[in-house]
Amino acid sequence: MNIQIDSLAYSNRLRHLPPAQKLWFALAVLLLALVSHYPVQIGIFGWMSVWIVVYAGIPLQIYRSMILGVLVFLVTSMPALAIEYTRFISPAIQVDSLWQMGVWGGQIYLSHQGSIQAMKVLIRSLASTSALFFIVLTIPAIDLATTFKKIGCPPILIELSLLVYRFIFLLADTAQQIVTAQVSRGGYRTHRLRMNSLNLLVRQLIRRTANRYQQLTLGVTARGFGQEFRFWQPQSYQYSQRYALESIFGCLLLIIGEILDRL
Amino acid sequence: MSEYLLEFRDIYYSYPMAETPTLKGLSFRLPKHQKTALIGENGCGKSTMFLIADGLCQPDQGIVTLDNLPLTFDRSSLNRWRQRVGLVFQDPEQQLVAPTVAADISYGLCNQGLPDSEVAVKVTKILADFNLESLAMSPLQHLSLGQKKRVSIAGVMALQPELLLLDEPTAYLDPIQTRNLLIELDSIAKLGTTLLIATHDLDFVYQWADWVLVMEEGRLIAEGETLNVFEQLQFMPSFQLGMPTLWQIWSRLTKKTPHQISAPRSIEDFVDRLDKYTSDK
Repeated sequence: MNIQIDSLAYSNRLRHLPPAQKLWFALAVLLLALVSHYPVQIGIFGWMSVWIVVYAGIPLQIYRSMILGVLVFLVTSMPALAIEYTRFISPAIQVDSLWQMGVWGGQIYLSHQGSIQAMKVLIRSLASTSALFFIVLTIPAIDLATTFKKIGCPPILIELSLLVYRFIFLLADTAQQIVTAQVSRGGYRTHRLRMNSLNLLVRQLIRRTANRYQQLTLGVTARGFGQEFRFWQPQSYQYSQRYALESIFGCLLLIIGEILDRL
Repeated sequence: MSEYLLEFRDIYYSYPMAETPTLKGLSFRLPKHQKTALIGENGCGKSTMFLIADGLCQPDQGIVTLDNLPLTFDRSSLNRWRQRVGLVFQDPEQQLVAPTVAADISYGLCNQGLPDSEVAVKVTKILADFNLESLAMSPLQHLSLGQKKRVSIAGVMALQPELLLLDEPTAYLDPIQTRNLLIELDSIAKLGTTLLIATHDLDFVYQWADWVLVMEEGRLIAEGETLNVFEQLQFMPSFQLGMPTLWQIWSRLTKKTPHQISAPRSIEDFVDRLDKYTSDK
């Protein structure tokens, strides 16, 4: 999935847009998602989904599975907000309770206020996540790094994130090779073997990571590594007035919607 | 000006905690503007020799020179040395550090402190020279191994080194990728860059190299022009890598050593001579 997302970031239909334009747009939408109310947040989620699936051409199936992954995480944390336990049912709780059940000498109940709170958190999270997915799916790592550098992010953070980014793929590749070798030799047939193979996999990955680190150190030294990782990247972006206008008017519309909702 | 570029004089090197030295008095001279192959069994010290030649390991004893200029291990000298000597590792992942092809090629140039405008010109040129223009913005993890090898060589060649060291460049490549790589190496050699390739592939060495160095247990056991070296090697029982296929076929066919009858070094040449040989018979 990670590699697929990375591929899409390089091949999507919004790739030619300046990364700063996409980044500022997504950050503005993210800010709106955090401060607005749920009707606007629902609008944000729908609008960002259009940007991702229709404008950027990200396959719906992939976007859906990414959203589902987030939903699973959110839904599993919702009971903590919506379900409560009390020893004594007060009249206020009686009014707030949508459903209740006696247990351990007290009552577990589904709180009306808690359910609304959970739904609000769910919608806000989905709206924010869709803005972040827009960044992840339409801006490649190198463009993000270049943009962050331009806006004055500390170089050490950018270098570290780029190295981690390179290592993710190297490690994923190494892990895949080890798992394939283990599967081919029956390493995952039973629960006991599975645990043993996982243990070996983790140990091998740690060992090989250390080895990779040593090799990479030699590699970058041979290429004249100085004090920092510096790269040059060709800039061949095309500013799109159509997308700029839609993003500005869309954000204005959302702000107006939020103001109307508050009145 | 010397006709030799790189020289190792009585080099000894031991890895930390190792019981025996990896290099034991290694001495050789590398002719300028030649395609040289370094052969030897696994563990004979070929890769270590490359690390020393690029200033990545400091020998315990002995002198390394480039155009008679000795290698010293202070920072500025090493930077100048590594601009003149480029090293391509066996595993391209070892030296590819940037997220995209163009960014990776620019890495060495940026390390030299060149301005972006100059880096841009050089990267554009090297992308064209190595036929990598269409991959310029591609992430490295999307490339095949053959493409990664080309990018790693392009990244080193961007610095226009006088000497290019390649450790097992054809390892893991399929025959098509190998052929394409060799075409690129030949074009690099034609530009005047001295090439030194470490390999086990004797067929490749026999057809490609002008000059051959042979290592065994940390020492040089033979050096010279390709045919002369194989002539010597066939009488060395300790040399375990065998002989090139063309050599073996021709010597069995003619019942003579190829040197005596000027052995063919390419398949085309072999076929021509076979025709002539059979018609003479």
